[in-house]
Amino acid sequence: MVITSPTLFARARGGDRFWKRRRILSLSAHYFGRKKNCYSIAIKYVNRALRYSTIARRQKKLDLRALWKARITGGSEELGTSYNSMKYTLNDIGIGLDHKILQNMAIWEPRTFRGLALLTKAKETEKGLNSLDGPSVSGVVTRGML
Amino acid sequence: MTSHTWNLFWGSSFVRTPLRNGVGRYVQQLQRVTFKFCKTHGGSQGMREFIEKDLVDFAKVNPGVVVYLKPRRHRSPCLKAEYLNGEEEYISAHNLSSSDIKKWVEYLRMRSGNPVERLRKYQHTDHPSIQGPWTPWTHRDPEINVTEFPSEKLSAAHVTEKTATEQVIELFEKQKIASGSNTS
Repeated sequence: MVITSPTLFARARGGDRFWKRRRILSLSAHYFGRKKNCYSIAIKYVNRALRYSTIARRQKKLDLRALWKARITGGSEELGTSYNSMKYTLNDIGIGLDHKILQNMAIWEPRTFRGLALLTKAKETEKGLNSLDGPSVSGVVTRGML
Repeated sequence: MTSHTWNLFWGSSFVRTPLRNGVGRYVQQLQRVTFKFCKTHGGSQGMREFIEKDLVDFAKVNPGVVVYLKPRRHRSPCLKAEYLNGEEEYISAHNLSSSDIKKWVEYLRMRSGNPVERLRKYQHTDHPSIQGPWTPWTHRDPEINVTEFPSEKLSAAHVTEKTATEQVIELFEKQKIASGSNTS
């Protein structure tokens, strides 16, 4: 048996100039003007675009995270609690909802979100955080109160 | 290639199905399939074999699909499928074996006819909310419906910080609680 792959791979390395250029020009196909057709101009813009897209892969996650945080903050502050209390309290209780789901609930299932916010407030009063032995939140009964 | 570039040329879509096909009942989306082939050339060998062996079975099992045979001299074979939504799809069957053609026919039979595009999401719903989406009035007290405007209470300035007096009172209360717990 003759194994030809390494030889062929070595022979094909570097690639044909035409195909190498096609690869770049296919990425610049939607540009306007000479940066669409002319390789030496296109490569500059393609490199820049790829640099941006590398940064954007991380940036997208950061942006989404900030957006979700803003939404949860808005939703929770309307109900008299805060982003941090909800995050830590729900984590303590063992409700495994992440940012994405929580912000989705705040928008699309607002009653569920209100339930979670009330639960957070009840748990906080039960722990005695940020309160001077205030009244329990009406409508929520937890094990500690009984 | 970024998704933006991809969308410019090839488009993108969401998961969809024609008229909730498959929920409760299934409507065959493939309406017509045409087998084009040559009677003499070797490129149509697999196609001719498929027609001899499997085509009658296929037509029996799928009475909703009209099957056409179109022999044409010295042209390479292909499959043409027409769907309920008016879309057409061609598949070149040149030099394919009969088992390959069987698989391609199966592929055409099971397709919805919607264009094959990049899916932006792998799930889709027409009803994103069960409870109704949030509105500015969702969490408000319904008392506001019967309030007379202008209202003194609602027009008052929002208190954002505690006043010095309130802070002192709070400190006093805390001290009282602390001293009470010490003495008892």
